[in-house]
Formats: sequence, structure tokens, C-alpha cells
Amino acid sequence: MATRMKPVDAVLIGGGLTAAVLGKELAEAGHSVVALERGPMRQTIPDFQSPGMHDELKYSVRHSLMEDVSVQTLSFRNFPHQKALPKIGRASCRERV
Amino acid sequence: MDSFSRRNLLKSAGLAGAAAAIPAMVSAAPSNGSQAEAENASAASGASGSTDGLGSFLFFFNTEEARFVEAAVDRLIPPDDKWGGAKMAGVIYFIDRQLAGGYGAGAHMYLDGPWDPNAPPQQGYQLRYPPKELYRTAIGEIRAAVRDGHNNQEFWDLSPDVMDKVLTGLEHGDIQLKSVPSPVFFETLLANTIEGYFADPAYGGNRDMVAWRMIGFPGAYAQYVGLVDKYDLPYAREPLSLAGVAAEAAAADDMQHKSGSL
Repeated sequence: MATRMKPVDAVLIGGGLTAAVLGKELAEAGHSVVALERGPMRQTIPDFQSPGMHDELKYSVRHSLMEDVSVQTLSFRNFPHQKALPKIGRASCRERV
Repeated sequence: MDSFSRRNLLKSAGLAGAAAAIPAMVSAAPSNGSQAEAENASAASGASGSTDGLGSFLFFFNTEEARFVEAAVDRLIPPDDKWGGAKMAGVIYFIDRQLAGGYGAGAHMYLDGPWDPNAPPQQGYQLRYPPKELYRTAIGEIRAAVRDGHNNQEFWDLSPDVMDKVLTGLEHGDIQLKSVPSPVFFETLLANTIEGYFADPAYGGNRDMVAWRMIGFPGAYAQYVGLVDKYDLPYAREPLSLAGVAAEAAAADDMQHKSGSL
């Protein structure tokens, strides 16, 4: 069931680098702002602490900070005449998609 | 006893004394004299510094699959006079563990189809096999194709040149397999070989941090603040693995317990 939250002036879809700048500017201009992120809650400690954050296989190659496509995938095509196919996920780091 | 399980036995013996003593026995034992066996025996005798006998057990591959993979990865990253190749680095154990776990089972893959056999490479992996099934299926079919074309010999019995021809045939799709496009398997094997050779040793490959020593990669250091104002000095720190960090933390913890400060 949908949860109704308190209305705000601006909603940022995704709280990345751009949203952080936007949020700061909007808040400084006196607007109330909410940024939406999906996925589990992550904190600097312990989720990004050393030495685990140096695990390149886990993060750079296996993309474990990215959306898990077994939960929700997307389909795509490169040209209008192609059939869109799902992103199945990376079988290997050399895969181009 | 085949060379693969003998090698495992040697490594799991663990004790340096045992590892040093056994190779003499290996060379004295009756042997079929194969190249692979000689290499395995020497790998085991030289392994005392690179492995403590942990992590040399196979969780997924059977012995023959492991012999195929070990021979193939050592052609993809062969040794040279200075540095060990993928075999010495334990890449087989990296791949084996990956396939035995979530990666092998396709835990983070979307496996509901549709499976379009005509999908172009730009649309990525579109096979119904999670990695462990891709390996098992492809290895069986490649071994059969090699036996058909090479007097009933197995891949690992071929000379390095002929192995390279087989691998090139897989890479370019010249060797047709029944169930799997051979270039897809080749790409996966090459990628996993590179991962195993260069990933943190905690994952089972990159033994003795051989790949990091070779390229001068420092590993999992987090702090360089103390080095910022040091100029014109060679960076000569030993590489640091995640497992090394954990071991240091455990040792520090142990010290605290002993001194009663915790």
C-alpha cells in the first residue's frame, strides 16, 4: 500500500552528485527538499569503510552497489528495428553491456 | 593417482616440512611422465611460500574439468622467466569458488528469458545458463570436440601450440559447440582468468600477490597521508591484501585480549 508522506517543495529522484548540488541550492533558497534513493540503507560506516571498500572485484567488476537485475531488470535495444532484450547481468567483466 | 589430486594432497599437507619432503617422493614414484604431471609436481614443491594449504580444495569442478580449466588458463596467462602464470597463481581455485557460490548460480542475473539465439553482442549475455552451467556444458562439449579432432587426446595433453589453436578456435567461433556459442564461453573464461589473476588473494587466486608484485599495485591500503610530502622516493611497500588486513586486525585483537585491555 502506498505511504503518503508530508508534501515538500522539491523531490529529487536519485540522490547522486547532481542531486546533492541541486538539493543544496534549493534548500539555501528556502525550499523543502526530499531526495529519493532506492535499495537498502547504506552508511559510510560500515558500508564504505576500509578495507572492504577496496574490493575491486565486488564493486567495480561485479557491480554490487548497482541495482540487482534479478530483482528488477530493464530491457533495451540499440536501433528501432531491433527487439528489446533484458539486461541479464554481467557474466563477465569483458561484457560490453 | 592422477596429478591433480596428488597436487591437492601436497598442498593440503600444509606443513612446510611435508611439502619439502614429498616432491622427492613424487619424482621417485612411477609416473606416466606427462608434462602436466612434471609441472604439477614442481608447482607443488615451489608452493611453500605461496600457499599454506588452505583453499586448494575444489568445490565445483570435478577433476577432469579442473585439469581442462587449469591448462587453459595457463595458456591465457602463461608464466615467464620472472613471474608465475595463471596456474601458479591458483586461478583454478578462484574460478572454482566463484562457480560454487552465488556468481556461479547466477544469483544476480535476470534469468527469466526470452532467450534470443540471434541477439547481437551489443545486447550482452543472452544465454539461459548461469555461469556454472555455462562452464560445465561448454567444457564437456569442448573436450569431446578436442578428442574427436586430436586422436582421442584430452585438451590438457596437447602441446601449448595446439592448445592455443583450440583456444583461438573457441574465441573466433571456428569450433562449433552444440549448446553454447564458443566465443561466449571463451570470453567468460578469459574474463574470469583475468579476475582470478588480479583480484585480491582473499578470493583464492593471485597467490602470493604475484600479479600485484608484477605490476606494482599496492593493494588495499587506505591511508597515504604520511606519504604526501615525501618526494622522489621509490614506493617499495609490500602489497596488502584484504586477507592481510583481516589477519593484522585479528592479531591486534589478540594482543588486546592478552593484555587484558578489552
